[in-house]
Amino acid sequence: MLKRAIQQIMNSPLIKALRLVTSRFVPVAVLTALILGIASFIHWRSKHQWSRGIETYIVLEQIRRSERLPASDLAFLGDSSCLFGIHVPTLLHAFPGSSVEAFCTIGYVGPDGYGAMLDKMVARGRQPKKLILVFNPIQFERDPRWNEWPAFIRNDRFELPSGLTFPAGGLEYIRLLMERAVYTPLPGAYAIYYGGKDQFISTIWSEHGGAVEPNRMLDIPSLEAFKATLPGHVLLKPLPASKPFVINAEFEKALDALSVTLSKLDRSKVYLVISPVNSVNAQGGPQSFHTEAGQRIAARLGLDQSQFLDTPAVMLDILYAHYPSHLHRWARMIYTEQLAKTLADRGILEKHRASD
Amino acid sequence: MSFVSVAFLCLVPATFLLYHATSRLALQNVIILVASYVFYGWWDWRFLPLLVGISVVNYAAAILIAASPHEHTRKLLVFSAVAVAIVVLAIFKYFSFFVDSFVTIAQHAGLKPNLPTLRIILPLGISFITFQGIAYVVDVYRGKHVAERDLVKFLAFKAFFPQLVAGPIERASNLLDQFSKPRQFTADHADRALWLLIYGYAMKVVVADSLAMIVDTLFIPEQPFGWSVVLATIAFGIQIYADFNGYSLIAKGVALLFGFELTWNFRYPYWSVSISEFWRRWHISLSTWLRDYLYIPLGGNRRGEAITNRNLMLTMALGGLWHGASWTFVLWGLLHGTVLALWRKVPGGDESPSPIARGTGWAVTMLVVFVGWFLFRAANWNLLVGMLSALRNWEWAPVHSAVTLAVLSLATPLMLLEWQLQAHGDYFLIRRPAWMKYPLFAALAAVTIAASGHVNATFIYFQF
Repeated sequence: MLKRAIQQIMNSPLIKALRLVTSRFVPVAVLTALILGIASFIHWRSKHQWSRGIETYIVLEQIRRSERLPASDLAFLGDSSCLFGIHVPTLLHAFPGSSVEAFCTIGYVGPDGYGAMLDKMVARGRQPKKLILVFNPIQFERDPRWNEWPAFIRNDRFELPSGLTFPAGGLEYIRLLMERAVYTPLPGAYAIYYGGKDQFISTIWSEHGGAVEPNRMLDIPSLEAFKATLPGHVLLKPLPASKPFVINAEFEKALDALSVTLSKLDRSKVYLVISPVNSVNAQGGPQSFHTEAGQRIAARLGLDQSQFLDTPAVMLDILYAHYPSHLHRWARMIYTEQLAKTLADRGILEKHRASD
Repeated sequence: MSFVSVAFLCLVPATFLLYHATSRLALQNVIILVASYVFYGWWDWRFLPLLVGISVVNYAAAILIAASPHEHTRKLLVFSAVAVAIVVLAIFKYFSFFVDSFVTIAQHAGLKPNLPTLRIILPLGISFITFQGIAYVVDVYRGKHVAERDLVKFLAFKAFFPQLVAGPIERASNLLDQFSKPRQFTADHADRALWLLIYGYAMKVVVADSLAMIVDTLFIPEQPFGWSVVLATIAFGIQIYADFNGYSLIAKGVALLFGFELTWNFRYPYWSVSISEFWRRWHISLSTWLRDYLYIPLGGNRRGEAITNRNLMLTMALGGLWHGASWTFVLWGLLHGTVLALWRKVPGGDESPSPIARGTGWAVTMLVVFVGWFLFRAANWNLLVGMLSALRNWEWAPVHSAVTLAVLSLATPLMLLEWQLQAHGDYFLIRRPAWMKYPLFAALAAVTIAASGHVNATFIYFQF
């Protein structure tokens, strides 16, 4: 009776259908779980880059570059006005045979953070022969909350063990593998110019530590084409609402930390550049904030006033991709051409002959 | 309810259990009907009466047509039923489009019309639902199918959830007839369902949704690069194929779990060597619908060259408009209509055995198809003009290397798989030994689940 009942149940359409489905779907599910388990294990064993978006990519990549590249004739350290404003290939073209590298990051890192990067270079014996520090006036007012960035660099905790467990770790591992081929778009205009993280990072390498700020002038295909659009543009008066650039105590404190690191170098080979701002944001007059701040920062860093380089304080608004600090891709070449002239005039960089 | 939602992943097993718990056909049809209405109502229950209403009108019209002895009355009835379907479609899908177009034309003429702007929510799958209804009524009128008298069976056919919102536009001769006969669920059904579900979800989640993120960032009116236009169009061509074919494969796989066979909606369209072959492989249920219920009634190719060309253009333009209420869709249809008309003049047509001719045919076909996809994706004039303006700048930016790598990484395995599927049959993988097929299926499943973090719950064709 019981046997017949069991037979009846086993022969019912539902059990038959379930057996058909489970005999196929369950092995696949088990194998899928196995694959995810293996992937989870690999993910757990491997170290993972501490990542918090585009700012972290920049900082980590510049640290990596500073670790891997040999000591250069000239290096730049500074904020994003330096990252997007110094076009190293223009300098290499102007000074053939020289080695120039930029290790510029973002304003959050600040003078203290640049000092931390420099400390690492010194510790590895890879400090540059000459150094130019670049600050934009927008960074003079430093927020103490940004100090986690220099702490992040000093603590050396760029890689963390994974906290993800099964199956999340496995899924994350597969996702990261896939991302090497199929990128996840970066935010905003960065997706239009770079696409994903890998292209952004490889641009930083190929441009010797510089990058293109993609928020403007992507549709102009060449420097010549851009220069043709310049006639008629003039410096505008600052907007009444624009804030004056004021150096605050937090910034000075960060300068002091950098000054300690500079004492490990030949201070006479360190130079200072205050990067330009656009005219409508140049509150306080075109030169006053620039010269005054430059002299003050130089003094704070123990540099001679002559080490503060004479570069443009204010530039046309059309040269900016992002106000008041990021030059666009053609403007950075124009600015770097002017900087190259200053470097040549001051003998900071020289053209090397092929036999040198 | 989307195929890529937790709700759907609960609905299918629940329906499966209930459905197979009985072998009574009528009860199984009721279960399918209820599940289908839950599926549709999950999106917006307020549109359920519309679905039921359209179905009942089709049901009643077909019975009246079949019962009427007079040709005149039959014609009137079929005309009325088709008119009701078109009016429903016009109200929900095209009202705003025609009002906006009228306002634009009037503004260009210097007038300032003050028309009320009525924003109507587009019911999910309305184009599929109405076209399926029209096909049924016309088939009954033509005597190709008998009028169904079992209301539950008919409603279940109209609402069958795997194909409800994005097709295939199943004919009564295929799907309705399956509701009349006992369905078998065999080992072969289970094998095929497993493969189709894994393949379909991988197409949708891994290929289509990964490319969707990229395409969305590149199809913008401010696009500065010509290469981005080209690469984004190629990426979109693969995205829309993977999205829609992925949906169709999942639909076919889910239907198999209940013993139903849905038609193939895609037959490797990007392997076509002519535009006419492309339309025999792409969205087959729509192209055959357009052929049977629009092109042939218009006269087809029976009334000379000029009328044939007119019919092709009209059919494809309306086919374009079916996809969406935008003039760029009409342009897309006209492009295909023009090329189809031109193709008729090519001696030898699809039959040329020469590899050079076939290679050239493939290249030209893909050029036309992908130019068409550009028009299809640039869904408004602002976007279309903006993207076309970018063609002045042929700079190669870092993004172009990234898109190229992404497209190649996704398209190459797909292409190799399709090559094998064509060579060895649609289900050749399920006939491989377990040690070979199950790890492959599991790997695909793992990749699909991993990629589902950026899954887009909607399918492109849901909006049509």
